[in-house]
Amino acid sequence: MSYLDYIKEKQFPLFTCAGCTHGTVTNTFLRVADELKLDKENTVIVCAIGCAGRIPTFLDFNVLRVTHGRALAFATGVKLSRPDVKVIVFMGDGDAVAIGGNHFIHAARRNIDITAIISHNEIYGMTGGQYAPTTLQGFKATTAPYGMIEPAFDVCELAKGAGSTYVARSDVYHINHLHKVMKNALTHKGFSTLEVITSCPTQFGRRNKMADPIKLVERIRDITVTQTAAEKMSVEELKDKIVIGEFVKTERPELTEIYEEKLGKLRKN
Amino acid sequence: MAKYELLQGNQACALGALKAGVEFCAGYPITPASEVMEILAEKLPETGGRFIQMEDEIAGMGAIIGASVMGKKVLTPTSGPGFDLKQENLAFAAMAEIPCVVVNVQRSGPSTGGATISAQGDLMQAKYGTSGDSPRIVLYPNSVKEIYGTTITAFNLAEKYMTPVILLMDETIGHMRENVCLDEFDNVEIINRKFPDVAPENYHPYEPDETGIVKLAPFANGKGYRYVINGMHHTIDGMPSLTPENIYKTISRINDKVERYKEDIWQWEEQQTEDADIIIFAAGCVSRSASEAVKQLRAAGHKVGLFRPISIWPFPDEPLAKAIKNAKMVLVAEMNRGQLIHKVKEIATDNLKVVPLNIYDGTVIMPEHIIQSIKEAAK
Amino acid sequence: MEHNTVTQMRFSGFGGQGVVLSSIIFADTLTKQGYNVVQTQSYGIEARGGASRGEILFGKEEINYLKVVSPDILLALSQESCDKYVKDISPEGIVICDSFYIEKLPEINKKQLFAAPLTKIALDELGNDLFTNILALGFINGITNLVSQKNLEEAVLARVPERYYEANRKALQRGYEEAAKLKVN
Repeated sequence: MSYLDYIKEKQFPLFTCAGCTHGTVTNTFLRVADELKLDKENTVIVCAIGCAGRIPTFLDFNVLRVTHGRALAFATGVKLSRPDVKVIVFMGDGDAVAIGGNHFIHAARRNIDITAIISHNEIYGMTGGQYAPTTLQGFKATTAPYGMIEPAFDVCELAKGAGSTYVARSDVYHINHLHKVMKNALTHKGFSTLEVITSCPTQFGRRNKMADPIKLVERIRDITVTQTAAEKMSVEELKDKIVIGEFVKTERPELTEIYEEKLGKLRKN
Repeated sequence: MAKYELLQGNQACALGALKAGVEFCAGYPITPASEVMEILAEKLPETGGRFIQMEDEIAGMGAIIGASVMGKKVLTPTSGPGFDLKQENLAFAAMAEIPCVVVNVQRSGPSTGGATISAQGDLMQAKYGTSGDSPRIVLYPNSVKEIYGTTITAFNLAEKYMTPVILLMDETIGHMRENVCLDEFDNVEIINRKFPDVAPENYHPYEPDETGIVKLAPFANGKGYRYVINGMHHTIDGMPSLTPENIYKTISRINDKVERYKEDIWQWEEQQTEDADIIIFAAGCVSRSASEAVKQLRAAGHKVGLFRPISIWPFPDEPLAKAIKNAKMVLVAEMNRGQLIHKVKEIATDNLKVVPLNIYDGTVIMPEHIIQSIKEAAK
Repeated sequence: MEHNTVTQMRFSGFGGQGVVLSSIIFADTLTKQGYNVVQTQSYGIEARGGASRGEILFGKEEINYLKVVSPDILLALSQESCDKYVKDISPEGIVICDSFYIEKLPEINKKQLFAAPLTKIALDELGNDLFTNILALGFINGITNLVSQKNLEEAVLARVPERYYEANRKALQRGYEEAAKLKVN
């Protein structure tokens, strides 16, 4: 097997714009899938709307592509009705924490065994560059022509607060790190959250004087710091930085297992 | 000997679902529908099924579709404000051809309206509530026993035609208890969706055979049928596609199947329509009052009959046209501002008088209201 | 009650007196005795603290009516419900009152009025006014003899927790006996 066995090659190329780094997330996923020898027959990928939500339709798995923001709600039905199946959810930042925010926190609270991979590109790309709840203050979007005035969500803090038992952040520049944490996220039992900082040159870069895709990736390189480095930095120094690393790695009873343990004995045959 | 028991409408719905083989229920609390969910929460673990109370109505609908994609028989119960929220994923189920049953125990609306107040305000929403041209099968029982039977039918139609089915109920019947005997359902037919009959390498999930009905393999079936299920217009393999050909094919397929098999789906009841000059058209709880009105008016020598659609969508237009062919007047009694009357008017010929009776103050339409309306209209 | 093919019953009181449950139990019993039965109740703000009611329609024929219009039997456990519903009763309808709460009995034909201090009996003899609704069921049946007392008892036990079986049996019996006293008088 090779990672190419996990894609539907004849459907390619992807629809994504030149310079888009969602492909890096996909690429990393395929390599990890190959390493883990993911059983594509027994794996369901759920995704929804937006650029990040459409990419999985090109993968050779059982793919359920649903309504905007609702991927985790559908995935909960998938997993609870078939606990033996591996469930992976791909979302964008708007998908996961704006329209799907409620489903996100509750999936984390339940600790249902689902891996959520969230591509954070700070913008609504597919719909034409509107601001996301992750857009940092000051940056421009079609709906923030004078710059974003709202504070941004910290997706990992949100996941942590809601009870996600694995929470990590990586980015498309540090691909070895991305590879490592994606593997950890996919092998974690319980609800795992992996936030990946990606870049959108077409909708975010062009509006913010970073149309060059390389410059955008370099920005990611420059604004990200590792946990170890962050520990030695002051609050002031960390102000415009994004910390990458594994923030939560813990164990808690998983929903479908509790269900079986508490309610399985009620089964009459 | 026939065994009678006292059952509540919502209870009959839950029991009917279990008889039909429901395996998964997800929902969100809402009056007057919660009993359906409460009973399934208790019973599903006993049958090896699963229940989960979701974070909102949208998630309840999403979760059941997720479980249906895995091959399970699924149901979510709700009422008006929740039914509003279900529409989004209801459209998905119609588009992606995922069988599921949505129960709407109607309450007075719009918005919060009245949680325990009976109304028939969602008859059009049940068909037209979602964006796009979307098919819908909607069943509307009028008694506790019929709720049990139509719940089974709802599952059967969903599985047979690979589409969502709405079971509409009235608060009045959902919360009512009646003596019922369910013996006749002991050997009722239970229909399950079909598994693909071609090899995985030749399988195109959204290319149906001559029946027009897709055969979607449950995900993770262990037999190599892997594909994409997608709420976007799609190819025969479920891949997103916006070519005119694929858009046309998708919209046509999901709607045509309900149109093509409407005679199999239609259910209606007629009482003394053969010689009737006046026909009362009523559905749900109002049809019971209409039935009583027919009885009393007949006893007084008036030629009155009743037409009651049980499947309101697809609307039984041909049976209705036949029933009202020789009538002079149709009284359409509804607990709303006039909804199905538009369908009746579509069918009515020029010399047929179509008279509305609309009560939407939270009280139910009683036989006396109907009798009075008929007398006034016949003056 | 011969004039009606369908008999209408209304159980009324204030929220918490258990009138809805008593109507369900009576409907269970009627079902067991082969009647067609429709049981309904009022919900909502009305049912919490204010007037609460459970209703039954029963008969040998199919029942098309969705609610009680003019009760042939009205049980009133509160002054408010008594005042509110007494005007609805059918011409020969009877009113059964808890005289503990209803100090001002309705001014109707004495033959149609049956009163006993049901709540007081429950408090004094059963130690808790929670048994008033079951006591009332026994009282209603003692007056009307609509169902067999044995079937009624079975229906009561099917709807109450096991640890209260004995108390409920006593309540039902005590209510029935109270009706017998009225007849002797």
